[in-house]
Amino acid sequence: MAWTAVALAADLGVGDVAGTRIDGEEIALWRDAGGTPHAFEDRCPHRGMRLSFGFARGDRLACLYHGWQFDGAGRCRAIPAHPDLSPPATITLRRHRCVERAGLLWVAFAEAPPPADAPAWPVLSLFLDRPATTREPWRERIAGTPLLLAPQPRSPTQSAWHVVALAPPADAAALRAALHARRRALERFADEQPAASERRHAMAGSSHLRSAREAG
Amino acid sequence: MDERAAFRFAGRLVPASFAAFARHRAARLGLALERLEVEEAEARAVLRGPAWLLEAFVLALSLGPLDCLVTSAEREG
Amino acid sequence: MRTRDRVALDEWYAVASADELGPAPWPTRLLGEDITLARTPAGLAAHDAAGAPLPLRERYGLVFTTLGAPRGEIVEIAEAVEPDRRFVPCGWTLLRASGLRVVENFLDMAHFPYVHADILGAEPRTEVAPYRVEFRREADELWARGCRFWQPRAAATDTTGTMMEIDYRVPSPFVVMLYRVAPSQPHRRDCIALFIQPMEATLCRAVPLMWLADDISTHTAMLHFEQAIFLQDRVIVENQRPLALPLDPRAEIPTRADSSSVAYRRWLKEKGLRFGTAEWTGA
Repeated sequence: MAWTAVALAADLGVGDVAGTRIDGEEIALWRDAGGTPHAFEDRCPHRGMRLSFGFARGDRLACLYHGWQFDGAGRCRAIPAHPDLSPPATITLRRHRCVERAGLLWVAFAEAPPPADAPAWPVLSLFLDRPATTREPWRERIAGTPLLLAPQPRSPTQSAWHVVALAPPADAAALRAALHARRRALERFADEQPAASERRHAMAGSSHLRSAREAG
Repeated sequence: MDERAAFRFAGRLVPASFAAFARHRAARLGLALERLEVEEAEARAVLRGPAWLLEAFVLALSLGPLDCLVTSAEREG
Repeated sequence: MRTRDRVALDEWYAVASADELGPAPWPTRLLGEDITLARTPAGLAAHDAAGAPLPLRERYGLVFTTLGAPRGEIVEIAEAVEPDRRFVPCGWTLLRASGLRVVENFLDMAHFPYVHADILGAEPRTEVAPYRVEFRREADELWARGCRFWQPRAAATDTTGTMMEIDYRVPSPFVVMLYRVAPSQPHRRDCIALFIQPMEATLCRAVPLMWLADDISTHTAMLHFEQAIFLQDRVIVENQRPLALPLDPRAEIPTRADSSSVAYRRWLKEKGLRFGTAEWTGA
Protein backbone atom coordinates (compact mmCIF):
# COMPACT_ATOMS: atom_id res chain seq x y z
CA MET A 1 0.00 0.00 0.00
CA ALA A 2 1.54 3.28 -1.10
CA TRP A 3 0.00 5.32 1.69
CA THR A 4 1.23 5.25 5.30
CA ALA A 5 -0.77 6.62 8.20
CA VAL A 6 1.29 9.00 10.28
CA ALA A 7 -1.19 10.51 12.75
CA LEU A 8 -4.75 10.88 13.85
CA ALA A 9 -6.14 13.83 11.92
CA ALA A 10 -7.44 15.27 15.18
CA ASP A 11 -3.88 15.38 16.56
CA LEU A 12 -2.69 17.91 13.98
CA GLY A 13 -4.67 21.10 14.38
CA VAL A 14 -4.50 24.21 12.26
CA GLY A 15 -1.08 25.75 12.71
CA ASP A 16 0.45 22.62 14.25
CA VAL A 17 3.84 21.40 13.08
CA ALA A 18 5.18 17.96 13.94
CA GLY A 19 8.01 15.65 13.03
CA THR A 20 7.46 12.04 12.07
CA ARG A 21 9.26 9.40 10.05
CA ILE A 22 8.53 6.58 7.66
CA ASP A 23 11.21 3.89 7.28
CA GLY A 24 13.71 6.32 8.76
CA GLU A 25 12.86 9.14 6.38
CA GLU A 26 12.21 12.30 8.40
CA ILE A 27 9.05 14.21 7.55
CA ALA A 28 7.66 17.55 8.71
CA LEU A 29 3.87 17.45 8.98
CA TRP A 30 1.87 20.63 9.27
CA ARG A 31 -1.60 21.99 8.73
CA ASP A 32 -2.15 25.38 7.14
CA ALA A 33 -4.73 28.01 8.05
CA GLY A 34 -7.10 26.62 5.43
CA GLY A 35 -7.03 23.22 7.15
CA THR A 36 -4.95 21.41 4.50
CA PRO A 37 -2.31 19.03 5.85
CA HIS A 38 1.15 18.92 4.22
CA ALA A 39 4.12 16.59 4.43
CA PHE A 40 7.52 18.08 3.63
CA GLU A 41 10.97 16.59 3.66
CA ASP A 42 12.12 17.48 7.17
CA ARG A 43 15.05 19.59 6.03
CA CYS A 44 15.18 23.26 5.06
CA PRO A 45 17.04 23.73 1.75
CA HIS A 46 18.88 26.77 3.18
CA ARG A 47 21.16 25.15 5.75
CA GLY A 48 19.55 21.81 6.56
CA MET A 49 17.59 22.68 9.70
CA ARG A 50 14.72 20.35 10.45
CA LEU A 51 11.49 22.03 9.41
CA SER A 52 9.54 20.10 12.06
CA PHE A 53 10.95 22.62 14.54
CA GLY A 54 9.44 25.44 12.52
CA PHE A 55 6.22 27.35 12.91
CA ALA A 56 3.16 27.68 10.71
CA ARG A 57 1.84 31.10 9.86
CA GLY A 58 -1.26 31.29 7.66
CA ASP A 59 -0.62 29.16 4.62
CA ARG A 60 3.15 29.02 5.14
CA LEU A 61 5.63 27.00 7.12
CA ALA A 62 8.61 28.96 8.45
CA CYS A 63 11.94 27.43 9.39
CA LEU A 64 13.06 28.03 12.96
CA TYR A 65 16.67 28.82 11.99
CA HIS A 66 16.39 31.84 9.66
CA GLY A 67 12.64 32.12 9.13
CA TRP A 68 12.59 31.06 5.46
CA GLN A 69 8.92 30.61 4.53
CA PHE A 70 7.47 27.90 2.32
CA ASP A 71 3.96 27.61 0.93
CA GLY A 72 1.94 24.41 0.71
CA ALA A 73 3.54 23.53 -2.61
CA GLY A 74 6.98 23.68 -0.98
CA ARG A 75 7.98 26.86 -2.76
CA CYS A 76 10.07 29.40 -0.85
CA ARG A 77 8.12 32.66 -0.51
CA ALA A 78 10.26 34.75 1.84
CA ILE A 79 13.87 34.99 2.96
CA PRO A 80 13.88 37.36 5.96
CA ALA A 81 17.60 38.25 5.68
CA HIS A 82 16.64 39.85 2.36
CA PRO A 83 13.21 41.17 3.26
CA ASP A 84 12.49 43.16 0.11
CA LEU A 85 13.49 40.47 -2.38
CA SER A 86 11.35 37.75 -3.93
CA PRO A 87 12.79 34.25 -3.91
CA PRO A 88 12.82 32.64 -7.37
CA ALA A 89 10.30 29.90 -8.08
CA THR A 90 13.20 27.47 -8.41
CA ILE A 91 13.81 27.44 -4.66
CA THR A 92 11.53 24.65 -3.54
CA LEU A 93 11.83 21.82 -1.14
CA ARG A 94 10.89 18.18 -1.51
CA ARG A 95 7.39 17.38 -0.41
CA HIS A 96 5.32 14.26 -0.28
CA ARG A 97 1.67 13.53 -0.94
CA CYS A 98 -0.50 14.01 2.11
CA VAL A 99 -4.23 13.40 2.53
CA GLU A 100 -6.77 13.18 5.30
CA ARG A 101 -9.07 10.15 5.09
CA ALA A 102 -11.09 8.21 7.65
CA GLY A 103 -9.87 10.38 10.52
CA LEU A 104 -6.20 9.74 9.71
CA LEU A 105 -3.39 11.62 7.99
CA TRP A 106 -1.64 9.59 5.28
CA VAL A 107 1.62 10.19 3.43
CA ALA A 108 2.80 8.66 0.14
CA PHE A 109 6.09 8.99 -1.72
CA ALA A 110 4.62 8.13 -5.09
CA GLU A 111 1.46 8.66 -7.07
CA ALA A 112 -1.30 6.33 -5.92
CA PRO A 113 -5.07 6.45 -5.37
CA PRO A 114 -5.70 7.71 -1.83
CA PRO A 115 -7.21 5.51 0.89
CA ALA A 116 -10.98 5.29 1.12
CA ASP A 117 -12.74 7.82 3.28
CA ALA A 118 -15.20 6.82 6.00
CA PRO A 119 -16.78 8.36 9.07
CA ALA A 120 -14.33 7.83 11.89
CA TRP A 121 -13.85 8.66 15.55
CA PRO A 122 -10.31 9.24 16.83
CA VAL A 123 -9.15 6.68 19.42
CA LEU A 124 -5.38 6.87 19.95
CA SER A 125 -1.86 6.51 18.56
CA LEU A 126 0.48 3.95 20.08
CA PHE A 127 4.25 4.06 19.71
CA LEU A 128 6.10 0.76 19.89
CA ASP A 129 9.73 -0.17 20.39
CA ARG A 130 9.50 -2.85 17.73
CA PRO A 131 9.46 -2.90 13.98
CA ALA A 132 6.13 -2.93 12.16
CA THR A 133 5.05 -6.48 11.37
CA THR A 134 2.65 -5.37 8.71
CA ARG A 135 2.38 -2.35 6.45
CA GLU A 136 -1.29 -2.75 5.64
CA PRO A 137 -4.07 -1.22 7.73
CA TRP A 138 -6.54 -3.74 9.08
CA ARG A 139 -9.97 -3.80 10.66
CA GLU A 140 -10.70 -5.42 13.96
CA ARG A 141 -13.38 -5.35 16.63
CA ILE A 142 -12.01 -4.62 20.09
CA ALA A 143 -14.05 -3.94 23.22
CA GLY A 144 -17.19 -4.02 21.15
CA THR A 145 -16.08 -1.33 18.70
CA PRO A 146 -15.19 -1.73 15.00
CA LEU A 147 -11.74 -0.23 14.47
CA LEU A 148 -9.39 0.68 11.67
CA LEU A 149 -5.78 0.17 12.78
CA ALA A 150 -3.14 1.74 10.55
CA PRO A 151 0.51 0.80 11.12
CA GLN A 152 3.39 3.22 10.59
CA PRO A 153 6.87 1.74 10.12
CA ARG A 154 8.96 4.56 11.59
CA SER A 155 12.42 3.04 11.57
CA PRO A 156 14.01 -0.41 11.59
CA THR A 157 13.28 -0.69 15.32
CA GLN A 158 10.21 1.47 15.87
CA SER A 159 6.65 1.62 14.69
CA ALA A 160 3.30 3.14 15.56
CA TRP A 161 -0.35 2.29 15.25
CA HIS A 162 -2.94 4.93 14.59
CA VAL A 163 -6.39 3.76 15.63
CA VAL A 164 -9.78 5.16 14.69
CA ALA A 165 -13.23 3.77 15.41
CA LEU A 166 -15.65 3.25 12.55
CA ALA A 167 -18.62 3.65 14.88
CA PRO A 168 -18.91 5.65 18.11
CA PRO A 169 -16.90 3.67 20.71
CA ALA A 170 -19.12 1.54 22.92
CA ASP A 171 -16.80 1.86 25.96
CA ALA A 172 -13.94 4.26 25.27
CA ALA A 173 -12.03 3.53 28.48
CA ALA A 174 -12.15 -0.23 27.98
CA LEU A 175 -11.08 0.22 24.38
CA ARG A 176 -8.02 2.28 25.30
CA ALA A 177 -7.11 -0.16 28.06
CA ALA A 178 -7.35 -3.09 25.65
CA LEU A 179 -5.15 -1.36 23.10
CA HIS A 180 -2.49 -0.46 25.65
CA ALA A 181 -2.53 -4.04 26.94
CA ARG A 182 -1.95 -5.29 23.43
CA ARG A 183 0.95 -2.88 22.96
CA ARG A 184 2.57 -4.09 26.16
CA ALA A 185 2.09 -7.73 25.15
CA LEU A 186 3.77 -7.05 21.83
CA GLU A 187 6.72 -5.38 23.47
CA ARG A 188 7.13 -8.23 25.96
CA PHE A 189 7.08 -10.64 23.04
CA ALA A 190 9.80 -8.64 21.33
CA ASP A 191 11.89 -8.69 24.53
CA GLU A 192 11.72 -12.47 24.74
CA GLN A 193 13.05 -13.03 21.25
CA PRO A 194 16.64 -14.38 21.23
CA ALA A 195 17.76 -11.91 18.60
CA ALA A 196 15.96 -8.98 20.11
CA SER A 197 16.83 -5.69 18.48
CA GLU A 198 18.54 -2.97 20.45
CA ARG A 199 16.24 -1.56 23.13
CA ARG A 200 15.57 2.09 22.69
CA HIS A 201 12.86 4.04 24.30
CA ALA A 202 10.45 5.51 21.81
CA MET A 203 11.85 8.95 21.32
CA ALA A 204 9.24 11.46 22.31
CA GLY A 205 11.40 13.92 20.44
CA SER A 206 11.27 12.03 17.17
CA SER A 207 7.60 12.73 16.92
CA HIS A 208 6.38 15.93 18.36
CA LEU A 209 2.83 14.82 17.85
CA ARG A 210 0.58 15.52 20.70
CA SER A 211 -1.58 12.58 21.43
CA ALA A 212 -3.83 13.58 24.25
CA ARG A 213 -5.46 10.21 23.98
CA GLU A 214 -2.29 8.20 24.62
CA ALA A 215 -2.09 7.94 28.37
CA GLY A 216 1.06 5.81 28.01
CA MET B 1 15.61 44.59 -12.18
CA ASP B 2 17.67 41.92 -13.96
CA GLU B 3 21.38 42.45 -14.55
CA ARG B 4 23.93 40.74 -16.68
CA ALA B 5 27.20 39.93 -14.93
CA ALA B 6 30.45 38.26 -15.84
CA PHE B 7 32.38 36.29 -13.23
CA ARG B 8 35.87 34.88 -13.12
CA PHE B 9 36.96 32.07 -10.82
CA ALA B 10 40.56 31.02 -10.29
CA GLY B 11 41.95 28.03 -8.49
CA ARG B 12 42.50 24.32 -9.00
CA LEU B 13 39.37 23.16 -10.75
CA VAL B 14 38.13 19.86 -12.09
CA PRO B 15 36.43 21.25 -15.20
CA ALA B 16 33.59 18.75 -15.57
CA SER B 17 32.75 18.94 -11.89
CA PHE B 18 32.92 22.74 -11.67
CA ALA B 19 30.85 23.16 -14.81
CA ALA B 20 28.19 20.75 -13.56
CA PHE B 21 28.02 22.59 -10.27
CA ALA B 22 27.78 25.98 -11.98
CA ARG B 23 24.85 24.78 -14.09
CA HIS B 24 23.16 23.22 -11.08
CA ARG B 25 23.52 26.37 -9.01
CA ALA B 26 22.32 28.69 -11.80
CA ALA B 27 19.23 26.52 -12.23
CA ARG B 28 18.60 26.38 -8.46
CA LEU B 29 18.64 30.17 -8.31
CA GLY B 30 16.56 30.65 -11.44
CA LEU B 31 19.42 32.45 -13.24
CA ALA B 32 20.07 32.36 -16.98
CA LEU B 33 23.53 30.94 -17.56
CA GLU B 34 24.50 32.54 -20.86
CA ARG B 35 28.11 31.48 -21.11
CA LEU B 36 30.36 29.10 -19.20
CA GLU B 37 33.99 28.20 -19.88
CA VAL B 38 35.91 26.08 -17.44
CA GLU B 39 39.58 25.10 -17.46
CA GLU B 40 41.79 23.69 -14.76
CA ALA B 41 43.06 27.05 -13.51
CA GLU B 42 40.21 29.34 -14.36
CA ALA B 43 36.50 29.51 -15.11
CA ARG B 44 34.42 32.29 -16.63
CA ALA B 45 30.67 32.62 -16.52
CA VAL B 46 28.13 35.14 -17.76
CA LEU B 47 24.70 35.14 -16.16
CA ARG B 48 21.58 37.20 -16.11
CA GLY B 49 19.16 37.69 -13.23
CA PRO B 50 18.41 39.74 -10.11
CA ALA B 51 21.49 41.19 -8.41
CA TRP B 52 21.03 39.39 -5.11
CA LEU B 53 20.77 36.00 -6.82
CA LEU B 54 23.89 36.73 -8.86
CA GLU B 55 25.61 37.37 -5.51
CA ALA B 56 24.30 34.05 -4.19
CA PHE B 57 25.67 32.35 -7.31
CA VAL B 58 29.17 33.69 -6.90
CA LEU B 59 29.06 32.90 -3.20
CA ALA B 60 28.27 29.23 -3.81
CA LEU B 61 30.83 29.02 -6.61
CA SER B 62 33.49 30.62 -4.40
CA LEU B 63 33.34 27.41 -2.39
CA GLY B 64 32.59 25.16 -5.32
CA PRO B 65 32.24 21.39 -5.39
CA LEU B 66 34.35 19.33 -3.06
CA ASP B 67 36.99 18.43 -5.63
CA CYS B 68 37.69 22.03 -6.66
CA LEU B 69 39.73 24.57 -4.72
CA VAL B 70 38.67 28.10 -5.59
CA THR B 71 41.20 30.79 -4.68
CA SER B 72 39.37 33.78 -6.07
CA ALA B 73 35.86 34.61 -7.24
CA GLU B 74 35.32 38.01 -8.80
CA ARG B 75 32.82 39.94 -10.78
CA GLU B 76 34.28 41.47 -13.89
CA GLY B 77 33.47 44.76 -15.54
CA MET C 1 39.66 5.72 17.87
CA ARG C 2 41.96 8.69 17.31
CA THR C 3 41.23 10.53 14.06
CA ARG C 4 43.68 10.31 11.18
CA ASP C 5 43.02 13.94 10.22
CA ARG C 6 46.48 15.50 10.70
CA VAL C 7 45.16 19.02 10.32
CA ALA C 8 42.72 18.53 13.18
CA LEU C 9 45.32 16.80 15.36
CA ASP C 10 47.86 19.60 15.05
CA GLU C 11 45.89 22.14 17.11
CA TRP C 12 45.51 23.05 20.79
CA TYR C 13 42.11 22.21 22.28
CA ALA C 14 40.49 23.32 25.53
CA VAL C 15 39.34 20.18 27.31
CA ALA C 16 38.43 21.28 30.82
CA SER C 17 38.16 24.25 33.12
CA ALA C 18 41.21 24.42 35.38
CA ASP C 19 39.15 24.49 38.53
CA GLU C 20 37.32 21.27 37.60
CA LEU C 21 40.47 19.18 37.88
CA GLY C 22 41.48 17.46 41.08
CA PRO C 23 43.61 14.48 41.98
CA ALA C 24 41.02 12.01 40.69
CA PRO C 25 41.51 11.14 37.00
CA TRP C 26 39.20 13.12 34.73
CA PRO C 27 38.38 11.14 31.58
CA THR C 28 37.29 12.85 28.40
CA ARG C 29 37.55 12.37 24.66
CA LEU C 30 39.34 14.42 22.03
CA LEU C 31 39.19 13.75 18.30
CA GLY C 32 38.06 10.20 18.92
CA GLU C 33 40.76 9.44 21.51
CA ASP C 34 40.01 8.76 25.17
CA ILE C 35 42.32 10.92 27.25
CA THR C 36 42.70 11.45 30.98
CA LEU C 37 43.51 14.61 32.92
CA ALA C 38 44.46 15.05 36.56
CA ARG C 39 45.97 17.57 38.92
CA THR C 40 48.81 15.82 40.73
CA PRO C 41 51.07 17.29 43.44
CA ALA C 42 53.59 17.81 40.63
CA GLY C 43 51.06 19.76 38.58
CA LEU C 44 48.58 19.17 35.76
CA ALA C 45 48.99 16.00 33.74
CA ALA C 46 47.29 14.56 30.68
CA HIS C 47 47.64 11.17 29.06
CA ASP C 48 46.38 9.60 25.88
CA ALA C 49 44.66 6.22 25.63
CA ALA C 50 47.98 4.39 25.61
CA GLY C 51 49.13 6.24 28.71
CA ALA C 52 51.62 8.49 26.91
CA PRO C 53 51.87 12.00 28.37
CA LEU C 54 50.34 14.88 26.41
CA PRO C 55 51.47 18.50 26.32
CA LEU C 56 49.42 20.87 28.45
CA ARG C 57 48.79 24.59 28.67
CA GLU C 58 46.66 26.53 31.09
CA ARG C 59 45.15 29.78 29.80
CA TYR C 60 42.00 31.81 30.42
CA GLY C 61 41.07 29.40 33.20
CA LEU C 62 41.00 26.52 30.74
CA VAL C 63 43.25 23.51 30.30
CA PHE C 64 44.46 22.92 26.74
CA THR C 65 46.10 19.88 25.26
CA THR C 66 47.00 18.52 21.84
CA LEU C 67 47.32 15.10 20.21
CA GLY C 68 49.65 16.44 17.53
CA ALA C 69 52.21 19.15 16.90
CA PRO C 70 50.53 22.56 16.70
CA ARG C 71 52.37 25.11 14.62
CA GLY C 72 51.04 28.05 16.58
CA GLU C 73 50.18 28.87 20.14
CA ILE C 74 46.81 29.26 21.80
CA VAL C 75 44.95 32.34 20.56
CA GLU C 76 46.03 35.66 22.09
CA ILE C 77 43.08 37.54 23.55
CA ALA C 78 44.20 41.08 24.42
CA GLU C 79 41.04 41.76 26.40
CA ALA C 80 41.99 39.01 28.85
CA VAL C 81 44.77 41.13 30.35
CA GLU C 82 42.88 44.42 30.59
CA PRO C 83 42.49 44.87 34.34
CA ASP C 84 39.13 46.67 34.36
CA ARG C 85 37.23 44.01 32.50
CA ARG C 86 34.87 41.52 34.06
CA PHE C 87 35.72 37.95 33.22
CA VAL C 88 32.62 35.76 33.01
CA PRO C 89 33.39 32.13 32.28
CA CYS C 90 30.30 30.12 31.40
CA GLY C 91 29.85 26.39 31.87
CA TRP C 92 30.60 23.62 29.42
CA THR C 93 27.78 22.24 27.27
CA LEU C 94 27.73 18.91 25.49
CA LEU C 95 26.33 19.08 21.95
CA ARG C 96 25.38 16.23 19.65
CA ALA C 97 26.73 18.08 16.61
CA SER C 98 29.95 18.70 14.72
CA GLY C 99 32.06 21.40 16.36
CA LEU C 100 32.33 22.99 12.90
CA ARG C 101 28.55 23.49 12.80
CA VAL C 102 28.81 25.19 16.20
CA VAL C 103 31.35 27.68 14.79
CA GLU C 104 29.21 28.30 11.72
CA ASN C 105 26.20 28.98 13.92
CA PHE C 106 28.20 31.43 16.08
CA LEU C 107 29.17 33.42 12.95
CA ASP C 108 25.59 33.67 11.75
CA MET C 109 23.39 36.70 12.40
CA ALA C 110 20.33 35.98 10.27
CA HIS C 111 19.02 33.62 12.95
CA PHE C 112 18.91 36.26 15.71
CA PRO C 113 15.21 37.21 15.22
CA TYR C 114 14.16 33.56 15.14
CA VAL C 115 16.33 31.46 17.42
CA HIS C 116 16.97 34.31 19.88
CA ALA C 117 13.68 36.11 19.34
CA ASP C 118 13.32 39.33 21.32
CA ILE C 119 16.82 38.94 22.77
CA LEU C 120 19.36 39.30 19.98
CA GLY C 121 16.91 40.16 17.19
CA ALA C 122 13.24 40.66 16.43
CA GLU C 123 10.91 40.66 13.46
CA PRO C 124 10.52 42.65 11.27
CA ARG C 125 14.14 43.90 11.60
CA THR C 126 15.50 40.79 9.93
CA GLU C 127 17.74 42.24 7.26
CA VAL C 128 21.42 41.30 7.23
CA ALA C 129 23.41 44.19 5.74
CA PRO C 130 26.54 43.38 3.71
CA TYR C 131 29.72 42.87 5.68
CA ARG C 132 33.36 42.15 4.84
CA VAL C 133 35.09 38.83 5.07
CA GLU C 134 38.88 38.86 5.54
CA PHE C 135 41.23 35.94 5.13
CA ARG C 136 44.22 37.12 7.22
CA ARG C 137 46.98 35.02 5.76
CA GLU C 138 49.86 35.95 8.07
CA ALA C 139 48.00 35.20 11.25
CA ASP C 140 46.07 32.42 9.50
CA GLU C 141 42.78 33.69 10.83
CA LEU C 142 39.38 34.37 9.32
CA TRP C 143 37.54 37.59 10.19
CA ALA C 144 34.12 39.04 9.38
CA ARG C 145 34.12 42.79 9.90
CA GLY C 146 31.58 45.56 9.78
CA CYS C 147 28.69 43.26 10.69
CA ARG C 148 25.58 45.11 11.78
CA PHE C 149 22.30 43.82 13.13
CA TRP C 150 19.42 45.41 14.96
CA GLN C 151 19.08 43.95 18.40
CA PRO C 152 16.23 44.69 20.80
CA ARG C 153 18.26 43.71 23.84
CA ALA C 154 21.84 42.76 23.19
CA ALA C 155 22.89 42.42 26.82
CA ALA C 156 21.16 41.87 30.10
CA THR C 157 21.06 45.62 30.83
CA ASP C 158 19.76 46.78 27.47
CA THR C 159 16.09 47.79 27.43
CA THR C 160 15.96 49.73 24.14
CA GLY C 161 17.02 48.44 20.75
CA THR C 162 20.36 49.27 19.17
CA MET C 163 22.09 48.73 15.83
CA MET C 164 24.73 46.37 17.11
CA GLU C 165 28.15 46.39 15.45
CA ILE C 166 30.03 43.12 15.60
CA ASP C 167 33.34 41.76 14.34
CA TYR C 168 33.85 38.00 14.24
CA ARG C 169 37.19 36.26 14.49
CA VAL C 170 38.07 32.62 13.81
CA PRO C 171 41.65 32.06 15.04
CA SER C 172 41.54 28.27 14.51
CA PRO C 173 38.97 25.81 13.17
CA PHE C 174 37.34 25.08 16.54
CA VAL C 175 37.61 28.49 18.21
CA VAL C 176 35.38 31.44 17.36
CA MET C 177 35.10 34.90 18.88
CA LEU C 178 33.12 38.06 18.55
CA TYR C 179 33.75 41.67 19.51
CA ARG C 180 30.77 43.92 19.99
CA VAL C 181 30.26 47.43 21.24
CA ALA C 182 29.68 47.37 25.00
CA PRO C 183 26.12 48.50 25.72
CA SER C 184 27.08 50.69 28.67
CA GLN C 185 30.45 51.88 27.26
CA PRO C 186 30.08 52.62 23.55
CA HIS C 187 33.78 53.39 23.08
CA ARG C 188 34.81 49.89 24.13
CA ARG C 189 34.03 46.41 22.95
CA ASP C 190 33.00 43.30 24.81
CA CYS C 191 34.74 40.11 23.76
CA ILE C 192 33.14 36.67 23.75
CA ALA C 193 35.11 33.55 22.86
CA LEU C 194 33.78 30.05 22.29
CA PHE C 195 36.23 27.19 22.73
CA ILE C 196 35.09 23.89 21.25
CA GLN C 197 36.38 20.46 22.16
CA PRO C 198 35.65 18.10 19.25
CA MET C 199 35.11 14.69 20.85
CA GLU C 200 33.79 12.79 17.86
CA ALA C 201 32.86 13.90 14.38
CA THR C 202 29.36 14.82 15.54
CA LEU C 203 29.85 15.21 19.29
CA CYS C 204 31.54 18.08 21.03
CA ARG C 205 31.71 20.15 24.19
CA ALA C 206 31.97 23.90 24.22
CA VAL C 207 32.57 26.65 26.74
CA PRO C 208 31.86 30.38 26.23
CA LEU C 209 34.13 32.91 27.96
CA MET C 210 33.34 36.61 28.16
CA TRP C 211 35.56 39.62 28.85
CA LEU C 212 33.16 42.49 29.36
CA ALA C 213 33.67 46.21 29.59
CA ASP C 214 30.11 46.41 30.82
CA ASP C 215 30.06 47.45 34.44
CA ILE C 216 26.37 47.51 35.27
CA SER C 217 24.82 44.09 35.19
CA THR C 218 25.60 41.37 37.68
CA HIS C 219 27.86 38.43 36.99
CA THR C 220 24.91 36.10 37.37
CA ALA C 221 22.72 38.05 34.97
CA MET C 222 25.43 37.97 32.29
CA LEU C 223 25.99 34.28 32.85
CA HIS C 224 22.30 33.44 32.52
CA PHE C 225 21.99 35.63 29.45
CA GLU C 226 24.81 33.86 27.65
CA GLN C 227 23.77 30.37 28.77
CA ALA C 228 20.20 30.92 27.55
CA ILE C 229 21.46 32.00 24.15
CA PHE C 230 23.81 29.05 23.93
CA LEU C 231 21.10 26.54 24.76
CA GLN C 232 18.87 28.03 22.06
CA ASP C 233 21.69 27.50 19.57
CA ARG C 234 22.10 23.93 20.73
CA VAL C 235 18.58 23.10 19.52
CA ILE C 236 19.64 24.27 16.07
CA VAL C 237 23.00 22.57 15.64
CA GLU C 238 21.66 19.30 17.04
CA ASN C 239 18.89 19.34 14.43
CA GLN C 240 20.64 20.27 11.23
CA ARG C 241 20.88 17.63 8.52
CA PRO C 242 23.53 16.49 8.15
CA LEU C 243 24.93 16.96 11.66
CA ALA C 244 28.40 17.25 10.18
CA LEU C 245 29.40 20.34 8.19
CA PRO C 246 29.12 19.89 4.42
CA LEU C 247 32.08 21.32 2.54
CA ASP C 248 30.17 20.90 -0.72
CA PRO C 249 27.37 23.50 -0.98
CA ARG C 250 25.24 21.53 -3.43
CA ALA C 251 22.52 20.65 -0.89
CA GLU C 252 22.35 24.14 0.63
CA ILE C 253 21.52 27.63 -0.61
CA PRO C 254 23.82 30.27 0.87
CA THR C 255 22.93 33.90 0.25
CA ARG C 256 24.96 37.03 0.95
CA ALA C 257 24.02 36.85 4.64
CA ASP C 258 25.85 33.52 4.78
CA SER C 259 29.16 34.96 3.51
CA SER C 260 31.06 34.17 6.70
CA SER C 261 29.80 30.60 6.73
CA VAL C 262 30.94 30.06 3.13
CA ALA C 263 34.29 31.71 3.87
CA TYR C 264 34.74 29.47 6.89
CA ARG C 265 34.19 26.39 4.72
CA ARG C 266 36.62 27.67 2.09
CA TRP C 267 39.19 28.23 4.83
CA LEU C 268 38.70 24.70 6.21
CA LYS C 269 38.96 23.24 2.74
CA GLU C 270 42.21 25.10 2.06
CA LYS C 271 43.64 23.80 5.29
CA GLY C 272 42.59 20.28 4.47
CA LEU C 273 40.62 19.90 7.67
CA ARG C 274 38.25 16.94 7.46
CA PHE C 275 37.18 15.92 10.98
CA GLY C 276 33.57 16.92 11.50
CA THR C 277 32.84 17.50 7.82
CA ALA C 278 30.02 15.65 6.06
CA GLU C 279 32.19 14.32 3.26
CA TRP C 280 34.81 12.74 5.54
CA THR C 281 34.16 9.05 5.66
CA GLY C 282 37.37 8.22 7.50
CA ALA C 283 37.70 8.38 11.27
